[in-house]
Amino acid sequence: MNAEASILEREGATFGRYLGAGESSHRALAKYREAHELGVVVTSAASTRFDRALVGFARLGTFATRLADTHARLFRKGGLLRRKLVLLLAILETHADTADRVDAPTVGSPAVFVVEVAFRLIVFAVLALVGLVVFLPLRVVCAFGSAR
Amino acid sequence: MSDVTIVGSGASAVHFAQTALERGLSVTMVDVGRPRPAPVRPDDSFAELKRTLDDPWRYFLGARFEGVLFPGGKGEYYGFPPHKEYIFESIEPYSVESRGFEPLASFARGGLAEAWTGGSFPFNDAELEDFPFGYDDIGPFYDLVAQRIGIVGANDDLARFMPVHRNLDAPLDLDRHSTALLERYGRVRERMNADGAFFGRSRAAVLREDRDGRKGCDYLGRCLWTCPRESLYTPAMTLERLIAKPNFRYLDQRFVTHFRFDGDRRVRAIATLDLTTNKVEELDVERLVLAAGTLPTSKIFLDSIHRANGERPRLTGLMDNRQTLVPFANLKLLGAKWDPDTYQYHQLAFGLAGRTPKEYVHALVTTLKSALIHPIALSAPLDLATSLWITKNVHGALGLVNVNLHDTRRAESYVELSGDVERTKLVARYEPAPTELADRKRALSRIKRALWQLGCFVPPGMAHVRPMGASVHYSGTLPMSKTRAPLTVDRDCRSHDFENLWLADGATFPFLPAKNLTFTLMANASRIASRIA
Repeated sequence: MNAEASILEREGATFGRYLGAGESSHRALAKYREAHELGVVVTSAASTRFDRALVGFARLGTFATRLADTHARLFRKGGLLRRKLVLLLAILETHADTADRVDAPTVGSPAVFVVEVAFRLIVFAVLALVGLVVFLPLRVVCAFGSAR
Repeated sequence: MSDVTIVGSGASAVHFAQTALERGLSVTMVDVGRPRPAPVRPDDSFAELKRTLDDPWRYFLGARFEGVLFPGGKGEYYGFPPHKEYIFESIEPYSVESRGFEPLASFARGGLAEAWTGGSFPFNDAELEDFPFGYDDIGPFYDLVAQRIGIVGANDDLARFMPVHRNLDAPLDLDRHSTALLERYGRVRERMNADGAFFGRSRAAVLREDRDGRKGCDYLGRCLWTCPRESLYTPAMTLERLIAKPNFRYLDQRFVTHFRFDGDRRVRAIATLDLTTNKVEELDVERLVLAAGTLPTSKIFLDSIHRANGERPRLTGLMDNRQTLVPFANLKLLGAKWDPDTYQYHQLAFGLAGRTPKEYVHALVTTLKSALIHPIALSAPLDLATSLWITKNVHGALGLVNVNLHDTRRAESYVELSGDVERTKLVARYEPAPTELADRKRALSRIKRALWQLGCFVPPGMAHVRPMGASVHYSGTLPMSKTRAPLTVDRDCRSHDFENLWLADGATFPFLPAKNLTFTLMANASRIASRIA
């Protein structure tokens, strides 16, 4: 496996854990890599310097992925990171090894659901603010770099 | 030469052919006829396929991942899976330019109805008011088609909008969410009815029990992915059985460009382009039946006139049902498990009484069961992990209402030809009725109110108005007319312009109720076939 393929598989594994699918199978990661090789993920519009930087940051770990994804959903929702995450989710939900982990309910009642949603929305809001602090300077740097 | 030559193999074409054969006529069917792929592991459920297929990703997502709905992509949720794309693949000689309209065409065996969700709703007398016949005339043919294809439904509160024909089989088993909705309706029925809202079982062309080589529904959850047991009816099934009959000849791989007529305006032959050799051939005809679908039929009709005398008439009155998709969540089912092995399409429907009977609003209710969820998760305004967590915990509570509005023939909506004679294009223009926006808002508001009464919540801003053309209920360009007039047909759908030409598809409908028209297309085609036989 070449270096790029290895990076993609590690990236897929990190993103899979972030999505709550646990450890992704080797075949799922190979499929994730295959989609990249077919050129369906990276498009010119979705792959600015900032998009690539965001993906690089997201590879650092699941918390970094969450922070980067929160920012991307608000400001780069059609960007490279979101495309990669959606692709991986589609791959995970269409194989029996991971389908239940991404598509089976985990709460038992409407009340528990409402409480947990409220908590998750608060976390989202906090991460959105943190993301602004972290990624806005990065965005400026990337824009400046592109201009040069 | 056959007694009858039919162009197309869709819902209208195959039922016209079947009736004509049953009446002793010989039939030639000319069609492009892209075959559908062989069913994959026909006994496995949607969930089982994820385990049993060697490469489930290829089946669910496509060889080039075309089934993945990326952020900002143009696809719709509940869009068609990759292996169904053959239905909408165009062919080079057929070209449409449109404005205000996003037309689909099919060159598949069975035509556009290969993507049909089976909704089978007979028109009532009020909806047939502009037709030159009433329910008494077409009713026996609803009975006949129901017997042929199998239709399930119930004589319930929706019967006030949909006549109960014969051969209506008992409905399928309900999934948990649909059961909850129907039980709740029982408790709020009077209040909803006072508001003009009625609720009940949808009607669908699906078999409960094995019949004629088809299997009864086994609740595999694969309706959208093409029923592998042929429980859910599509016209290609009838076509396969017709091909085995002695008086039936099927000529596929042929694209009909136009027909040639003589000075007495009698059709003599059709010109077909053989798609394997790219050669144009003529086929003599005794009686010609155009049943290629409203837009292709209109193009053949217009091209034939244009080639003969250079004229380019405009066919006014193009219609289609405006559809709005309204997602909802059933508050009592948040966090509940969903049924993986159930019938996937609509099992329930709303009927909203209109100011007049013709302004009836029809809305199909599909609860979410087996489905891909990444398109839902990506649509929420949150990071994907949070969206996914919410999606999987509301999966069993989610549903979608498809709200249909009626349409009328208007001069501003039309088709005509452009381009030079050897390479014409069909130009389709659609202008919504002046009242459409207000009608749509009113219908949406009533549906939201009805859903709320059923304990369901509609997330703000999530209703999606589908582009005109998406419902694929095209009709009205060469309508039935009680009086003899050019560019119309008589009550038997025989052309007023050409004595041995019949039009058997939606082009002849003078009005489009808010209902899926496929069942009526089949019944009407059988009706007119019985009258020329």
